[in-house]
Amino acid sequence: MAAAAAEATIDGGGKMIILISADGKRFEVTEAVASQSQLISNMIEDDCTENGVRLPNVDGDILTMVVDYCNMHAGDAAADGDTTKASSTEELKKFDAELVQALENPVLFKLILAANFLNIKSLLDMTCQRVADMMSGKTPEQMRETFSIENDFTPEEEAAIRQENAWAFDD
Amino acid sequence: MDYDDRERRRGRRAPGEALPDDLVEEILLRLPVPSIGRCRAVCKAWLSRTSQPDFLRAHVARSCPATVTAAATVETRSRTTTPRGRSCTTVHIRRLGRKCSGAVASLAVSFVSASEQGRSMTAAIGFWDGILCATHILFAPGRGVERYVLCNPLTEAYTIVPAPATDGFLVGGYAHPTTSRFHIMHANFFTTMETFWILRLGENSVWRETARLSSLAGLVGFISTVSRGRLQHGTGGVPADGGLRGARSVGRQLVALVHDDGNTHHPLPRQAVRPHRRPGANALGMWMLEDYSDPTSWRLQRKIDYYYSCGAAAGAALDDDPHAAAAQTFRARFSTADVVEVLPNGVDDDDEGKEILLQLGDEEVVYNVGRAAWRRWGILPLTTRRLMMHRQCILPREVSFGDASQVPWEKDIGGHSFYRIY
Repeated sequence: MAAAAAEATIDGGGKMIILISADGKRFEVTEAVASQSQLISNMIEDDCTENGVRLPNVDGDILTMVVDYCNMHAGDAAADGDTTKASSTEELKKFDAELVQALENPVLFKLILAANFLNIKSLLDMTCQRVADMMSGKTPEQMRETFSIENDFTPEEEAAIRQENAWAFDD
Repeated sequence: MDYDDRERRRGRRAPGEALPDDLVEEILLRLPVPSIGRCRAVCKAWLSRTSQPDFLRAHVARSCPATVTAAATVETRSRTTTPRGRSCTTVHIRRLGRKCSGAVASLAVSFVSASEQGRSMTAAIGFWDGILCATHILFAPGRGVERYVLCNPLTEAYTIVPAPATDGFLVGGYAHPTTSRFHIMHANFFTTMETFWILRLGENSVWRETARLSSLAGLVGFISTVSRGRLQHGTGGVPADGGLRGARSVGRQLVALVHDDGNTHHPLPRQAVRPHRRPGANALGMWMLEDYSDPTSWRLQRKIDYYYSCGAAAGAALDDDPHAAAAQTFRARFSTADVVEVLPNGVDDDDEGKEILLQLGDEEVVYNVGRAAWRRWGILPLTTRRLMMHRQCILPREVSFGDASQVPWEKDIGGHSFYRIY
């Protein structure tokens, strides 16, 4: 079953790994691609990827994006061997920008969670930066909406804080 | 970029609840400074998180190589009448330029002296790493530059330190690359030994002598005749620097701009060298401290030809050699320049590469390091100085000045802070 698939190899000779999303979708990727995730890289070292890697926190549609991202970035991570996947810096930048630009908040947050869980630093950095970019220029009210935070200040407390940080409010 | 939250809130589960605290912090760390200020009004948890010294340090560390974020004019009016007839200097900070962020809108800082009008004066020297540096001068026999006053207009923290017991003046300041502790530099260019002194604000602060540019100059086989210079704190690693050394240090370098002796070999092509041109002192030397931890690692980066278009009217004084006259004018104006700033991304923050801004009298000129070219930037009233915020500083008072930090004496509703200099 999965074990057989997991040991399948492609022409490059790299070992293949099966990633299984929370909703049961399966993704076959090379070790080089998968090991951009520190989590999976550790699992590969510990030799426990034979039956596929189950990722109970990650939905299929999110994992699709993560796999796309890792496929695209496999070249720059693996400096030594497999350069067939390597893309130019320009292409990568464009790809990254398009990936996060299209995303709206709930999906973006899920992608952040996935990047964090899988421990893919560059993806985490990029997605967090995207949220920060979207937040800049927003009022406290809009930030509360974005993060579904309840205002736990009394009106007096909030007024005092706004007064203290007045420099941040007058644009 | 813009998205509408309301629609999703109707149908789906609130997304924010899913993000754990450490990931929210990852996002907050990436926010620009004004947004951090607004975050504090979101909820108690965010207020507390964005006020922690750890958070602020991490935020500053992340935004270290940030570009110029705000520019301001400062109008210094000494002898403004105060209720008690005391000497008072007010610095008005206004936002300038098109690419400035909202951190500095309109601020006013007043330094109120204990002495009567005309007996003392506080003069703004410059802005380094978001800190307004001023000097307090006593007009009395045997007195002079007595104290330095440092103030963070955003956090309102301020501190007063004595100047070293030596002639000279404040030439620059910087937040330490790793500790964020503010340091100031004092230089004595009035003797042949050009000595720099550095003071770290806060615990156990003592002025320490750091480097003698003259001995270093000897090392390079080159004696600079320094009549006046300023140490600047810029960020390094700008590609336009080409062959400039020192990029290995963590992206922050000290740059000194000093008068140079023109007798030595000049790397830049010269035009129209006139036979009776005065030898010497016709270029600026740009020095860089290569290794922050090694005060003897000052290296001459390049020589910069004078800006010869400076003060066209002065040519009449030496009509037989307008070139020499222009050089002399530049020399004189540079020696009394109020503003010398190194801007890593150019004065307009538009990827022009590193540029140096000089305010010579009322004229602002810019030297582009990458293109080795001067250009005129603008005219400012003589009472106004352009001060550049190298980077926004949101450090609370206990971090930036250590235990030397003090709070304002008085504050009025319009954001005008008063500081007592007694």
